[in-house]
Amino acid sequence: MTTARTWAIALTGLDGDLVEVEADLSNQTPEFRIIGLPDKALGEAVQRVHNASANCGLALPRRRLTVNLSPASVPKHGSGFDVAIAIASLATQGRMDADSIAQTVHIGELGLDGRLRPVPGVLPAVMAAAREGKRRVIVPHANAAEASLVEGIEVVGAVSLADVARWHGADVEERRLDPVPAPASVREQHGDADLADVIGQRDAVEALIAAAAGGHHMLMSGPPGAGKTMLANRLPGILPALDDAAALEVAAIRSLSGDPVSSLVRRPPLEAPHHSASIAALVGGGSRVLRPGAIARATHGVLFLDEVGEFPPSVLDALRQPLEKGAITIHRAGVAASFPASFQLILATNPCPCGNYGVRGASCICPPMAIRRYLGKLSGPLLDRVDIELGLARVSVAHAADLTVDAVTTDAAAARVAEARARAAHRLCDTPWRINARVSGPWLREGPLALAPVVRRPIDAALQRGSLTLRGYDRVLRVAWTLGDLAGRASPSMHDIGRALFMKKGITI
Amino acid sequence: MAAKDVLGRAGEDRAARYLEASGYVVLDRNWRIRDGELDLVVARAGELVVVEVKTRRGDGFGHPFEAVDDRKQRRMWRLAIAWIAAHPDEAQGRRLRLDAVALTGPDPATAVLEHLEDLR
Amino acid sequence: MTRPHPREVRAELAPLVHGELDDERARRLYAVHTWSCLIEPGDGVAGRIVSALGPEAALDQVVRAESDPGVLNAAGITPREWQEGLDRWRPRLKRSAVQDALEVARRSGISVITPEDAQWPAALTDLGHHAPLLLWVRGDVDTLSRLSPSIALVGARAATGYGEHIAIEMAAELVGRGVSIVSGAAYGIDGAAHRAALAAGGITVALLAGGVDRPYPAGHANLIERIAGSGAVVSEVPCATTPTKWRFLQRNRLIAALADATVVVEAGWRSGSLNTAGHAAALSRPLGAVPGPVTSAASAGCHRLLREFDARCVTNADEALELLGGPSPALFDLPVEGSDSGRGRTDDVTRVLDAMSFRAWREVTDIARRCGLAPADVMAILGLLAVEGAATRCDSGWRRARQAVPSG
Repeated sequence: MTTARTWAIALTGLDGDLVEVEADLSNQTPEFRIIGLPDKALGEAVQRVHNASANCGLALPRRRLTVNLSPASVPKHGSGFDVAIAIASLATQGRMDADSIAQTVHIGELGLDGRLRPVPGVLPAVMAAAREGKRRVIVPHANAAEASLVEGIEVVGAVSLADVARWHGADVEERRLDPVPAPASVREQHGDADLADVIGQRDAVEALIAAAAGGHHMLMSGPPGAGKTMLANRLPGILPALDDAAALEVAAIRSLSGDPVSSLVRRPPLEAPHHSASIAALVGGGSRVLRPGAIARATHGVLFLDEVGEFPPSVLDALRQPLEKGAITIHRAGVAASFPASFQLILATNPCPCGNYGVRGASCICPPMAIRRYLGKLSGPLLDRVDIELGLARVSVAHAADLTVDAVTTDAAAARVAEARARAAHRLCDTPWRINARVSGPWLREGPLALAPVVRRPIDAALQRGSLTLRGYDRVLRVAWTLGDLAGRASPSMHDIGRALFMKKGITI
Repeated sequence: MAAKDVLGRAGEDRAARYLEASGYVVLDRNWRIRDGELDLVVARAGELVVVEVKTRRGDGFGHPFEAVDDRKQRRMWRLAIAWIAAHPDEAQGRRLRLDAVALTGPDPATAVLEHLEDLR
Repeated sequence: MTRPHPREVRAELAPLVHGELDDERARRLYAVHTWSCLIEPGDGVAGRIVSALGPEAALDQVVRAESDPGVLNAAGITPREWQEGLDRWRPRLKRSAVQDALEVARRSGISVITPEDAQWPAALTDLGHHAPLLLWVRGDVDTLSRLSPSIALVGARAATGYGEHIAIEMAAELVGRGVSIVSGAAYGIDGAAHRAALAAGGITVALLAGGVDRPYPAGHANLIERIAGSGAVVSEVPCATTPTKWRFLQRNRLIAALADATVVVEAGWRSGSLNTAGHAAALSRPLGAVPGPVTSAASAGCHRLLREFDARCVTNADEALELLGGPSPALFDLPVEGSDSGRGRTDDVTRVLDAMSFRAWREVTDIARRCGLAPADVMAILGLLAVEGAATRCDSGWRRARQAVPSG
């Protein structure tokens, strides 16, 4: 008899595909069928659409409704298709403007009471809609702010299904309903942490600044209370602010995680999963919607693993792909979704299980085998990626007073980092890299900017002697370039190489 | 007779009158065998139509047509074929079709009548 | 022989010298040059008379074949020595020869320096009256005055693969530590040392037995050219002079005198490089020798040096550096930030080492306070010391380490 069509978005990770929602009303006994590979949540849409429509004073036609979501080959998950299905179904009775519906993308879940409920991932979905050339999207009221972050598409926030229908020209009684609120935010902010709060750890602060300037992964070793967590928390504050593309990507990932998003946050994210977190919490997953894990949420920011030795090896192993490729792929129910995962890794460890090994004035109770085993987990592929290694000691109160004078503020450090990064970006403008940590070893050793033999003689000699591996050599070069950038030098001096060696401790086992 | 049956009977009467007004000839009513009952068998030109009539006071328990589900339709086909076997002359040269008529309202005489043709 | 006109002299000499050339300097230089055409290198009598009278007056004595006993006495020359000297020199008094030598020098872009010049290497004064009267230089004249610290690497022409390997490794490593390499551009050890020094981007100086305009040996013409390009090629004999056995032996004394220490890398029992070692010993210059298998005749000379000449056993660049005195005299070039390079590099590394203990662990800020250097500089030095094995650390801080015997 009659058909009506509108649009929805199917998300696979952050990538969205346009889905055409086509409803066909035929003069047959009543039935409501959705075809095109829906998952369980989608199948329950029948019930939700049914009740929501009734409660809005909009009756579904008492005939056979078949709703097709195409293309069938795109996997569709979750409850975000409810509104599109409902509108298309209701439109088959001809009470709404077919053109209006056909040009609008609908996103949202329907409560049984007819109100639109927020769903995760509205931002990436709207980004996909805009990319596909759609000019208008209707989203739940609670998601309107995040949807508005996307340029080039009109966003309408709706409270109930009746609002949506009325918007498309249906003659429906208006009822003032309270919109379903966005979920509360559970993440802590660290907005007031200043680098100057870190007292007395001058070389640690310098190392942090170097890590920030070059994007180097860093390992901190020290007893509890030495300030490892404090330092890690202050790293995002001295990193350059996210540009539009990065900020949007970070917001999209947060949206997909189910966090409320209302504006673009410019501060790079910090993710600090606990070592007892499951592998899914880190890598991502979820039974219905593919949710990004801590690794993806740390994109363009910092992933901080405190007590890294306590993490199960399988979890640490999961870091390998993102560290290598800058992306992480999750497989679930035959679907593979890829999330960006380009972050700066900060690891922290105690020197031993009891925390007192090598600490002045404390005695370590760990048997040597236990220490070896504890630190042994750090060796191999993970340590290979760490350019800067930092040993921290507890600062005694006696020294604290006269050491505050020299404390570096976040603003001052951020300025130095920004300048060093600009220098590096300019130097690397003809290469595929933008920050020193990503530059390939062979290029540094043999490319157009290879250092003069005299400057690199100490590390050449160490390489020959075997006291430095080739990977270690390359790491020293990268950090030396960063130190040179921070000092405003055109190329690293022996001084920079010395300091880079200083920052390459080598955990003593 | 139960009130329900009175309503049902009144609804069938109304449906029959409607069909006749639409040019159908009523060939049989309430034809029953062990397997079930056909409410109405009508014919028009080359069509032989078996009609299920559903009468409801309101749609509080769902729309009348919702009761004519797949299982019901399959049984209607079986019964229709049995009727044709029993009445070969009337079926001769005619195509078989399944219809449903729904009456919704407290009084069958004024109830809303809907006619679904060719159920599949 | 008449004296040439001052203007002519200036014209002839101007292209060969650096700096102002007034009449007096020109005449002096001309006289010195004439002397160098008359004498064989190392002529002590000539040295004494020139030292006593100055080159021009001394030359006058020769030209007029005079024998003033007072002069001779004052110069410490016996009449017999003087007569023998005159017999040697007078036959070479040819104006044309003197001028031709200058002509060749001018054509080849060669410079000449005398002890009065700023670029004259002070180390040569240790030769006393046997010091050269002048030096001919191809390349950068200033190299000679910034040679220190320098080590002469010499050895047999018939070197084995082992000897060449050692020469190459040692030269490269020393260059990396800021040491200049001095040698004689001969086949074998000399050539290997020069080549390695050039490849590592360092300074190397070659002393030749003949004129600097003619590379010897011919097979090293390219190498000598390259040395002139980045360092210096030096000789005390005039251009167009051919090398002779005597001149080789005398050249060796220059090698030994010019460098701060000499290391004989590989030498047979009678190798000419033992002669260089002898000069070094005579000049009280530190002398090192690299041992080899006792069954190898190619190392027999080195073993002899170790036994008879008090040479120190040197097996690698570190030990060669020890000859220069101090454990880490020029480990690495660390200009301190914000200051000019007037402060010696030795200072900073030594200061840091002195501020560290072999037993107690000290933190960076503590070490910095003790030695009065900025923490950033201390960190840089500690990093370099750590990779050398001279310092170690733990979470509590840093301390000195006794360097392990290098393996392999």
